[in-house]
Amino acid sequence: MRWVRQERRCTSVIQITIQTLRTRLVKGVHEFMFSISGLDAYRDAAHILHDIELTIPTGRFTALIGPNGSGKSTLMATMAGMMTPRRGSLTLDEKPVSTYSKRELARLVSFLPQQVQTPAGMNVRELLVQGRFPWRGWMGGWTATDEKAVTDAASLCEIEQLIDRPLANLSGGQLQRAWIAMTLAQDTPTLLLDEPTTFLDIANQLSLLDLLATLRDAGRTVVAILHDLNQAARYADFLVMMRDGRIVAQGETSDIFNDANIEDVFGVRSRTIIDPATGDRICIQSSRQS
Amino acid sequence: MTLMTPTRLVQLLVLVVLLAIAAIMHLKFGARSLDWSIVLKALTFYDEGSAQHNIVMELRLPRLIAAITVGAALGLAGTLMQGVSENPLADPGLMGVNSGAAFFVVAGLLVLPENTMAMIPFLAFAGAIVAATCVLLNAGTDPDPVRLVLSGVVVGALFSALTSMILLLDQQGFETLRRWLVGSLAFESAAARWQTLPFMVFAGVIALINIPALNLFRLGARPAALMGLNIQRFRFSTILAVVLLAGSSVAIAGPIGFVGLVAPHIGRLIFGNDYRFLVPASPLIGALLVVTGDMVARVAVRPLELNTGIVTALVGAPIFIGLVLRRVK
Repeated sequence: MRWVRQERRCTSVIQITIQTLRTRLVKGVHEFMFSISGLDAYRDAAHILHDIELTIPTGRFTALIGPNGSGKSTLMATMAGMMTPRRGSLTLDEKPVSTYSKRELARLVSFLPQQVQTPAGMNVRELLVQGRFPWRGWMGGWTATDEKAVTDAASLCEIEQLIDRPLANLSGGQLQRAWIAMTLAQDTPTLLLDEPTTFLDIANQLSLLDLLATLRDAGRTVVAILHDLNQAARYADFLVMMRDGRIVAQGETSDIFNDANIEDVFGVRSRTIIDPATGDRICIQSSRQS
Repeated sequence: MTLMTPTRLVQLLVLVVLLAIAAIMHLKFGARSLDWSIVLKALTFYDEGSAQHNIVMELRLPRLIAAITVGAALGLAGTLMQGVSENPLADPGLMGVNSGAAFFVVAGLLVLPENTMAMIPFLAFAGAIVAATCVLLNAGTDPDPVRLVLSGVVVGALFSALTSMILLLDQQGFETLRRWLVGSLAFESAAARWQTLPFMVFAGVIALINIPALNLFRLGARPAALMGLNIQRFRFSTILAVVLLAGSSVAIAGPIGFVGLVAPHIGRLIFGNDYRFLVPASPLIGALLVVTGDMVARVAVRPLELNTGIVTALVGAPIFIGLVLRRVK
């Protein structure tokens, strides 16, 4: 059963890769999906983001890490076009985000915010169908492409069996998978996820991160806010470390995931060791006092 | 995703058949019951000389058409209102649209010199638009629907108070408008029906175009915006449709309550929350409610008649309480 699912996941991935490659051939591909420069953002009067300089590499897995209130969510909401920056420039595919129409933007970037309320009286399938909204015509005609995107998304997230269940009857992990499947049905080259692993148990966290890595391998740009440093180090190619609304460090995970940066960002002492089995970096934290 | 499963199609057809049955009974019963044969003959071979045929074709048929139109308009307006306000208890009354329209009609007829009944539709639209504008300006661009609903309640209360004030100052006017204000189909006129028809058709088209957006909006305003929905345009067009529908129904029959609330909920019980079914079903259910209500209104205290609005309120209020209790549980 397990390997049958895996195989199906692989076929879906191949199909998505072909789609992505096709769009790239047509559009040409830039090294950086997002380029941000001198960006300042406010929530009401509060100055949240200060002078952000950031580039998000195309086709790679980027993790945003930092303590609570460091501005990660605000930065992601700004990238998704949900917030307008006060100053500075923000470009997606070398075009300012503000010049895209809402629908164009929704065809390029999907964003799963941290808190989403469960809509009443909706089943999984209906939720996934909403992910196709940016692609549908003015009368909302349903095409074979739409249907395929929904089935592929459901099989990638392994929720085919739940497709007719009401959202209210799902467990936390299943519900999170359903929301992620909806953002996948949106079929965008870039995915932004704000703390997608929160509320999931460890097995579900890892299978979700595996899924994100699979999508990255299929050519998509994945940006996720993660809380677990070791998961971030293991899965992300590229790290962005934030504190107090500023970017402290950004770069290849292997270059910047070290004791000095972690202490600087989180204010905790840590030791980084190499996992003898995988060669991944593992960080062990201790409080300042010990 | 097939649009029409056989079950759904049958359910819609059953509604159409029920509406047809109610319509024929509406023609038969009244201050005076007519034979089925006479009703059928009047519909098929109309004899202008026959008094009974006249009752069917000149008195009851126009009133039946008005009942269907008003019910359909209110049912659809309620569905759109619930969709756009993210509030399952919303109806055009809650948004102050009905009160605004009623106030303008009362004020226009009693205060303006040289007024005629033909002005009613325009006064009603003006009132509905003014009320909706007040509500929207109050609600601002806040994505939170609570503010929209609260400002609707406030504006509605304000216009009701103003209407009462005028009527208390003008006793004579109150006598003439008394019945109209509780909602009655007894004063419907062909003029009002024809004047409002294009607006209602336009509102229906807006509703059809907005079906995918209404479904998307069930996720909430923020996720819907992330999917590329232009929230401002969606809210504006949907509320415009509500204003046109509610204004039209007030122009034809005065403010008839509860249909806008109850019709979508009966639709939700049968079809679930998918607007692809609610948008066609709620006008059918609304029409069914008003036709039945109007029949009861004319039969219950024969030879006098009750106001249609009173009957719908008597039936609608307990259903409303039931809905609230079920939500509270």
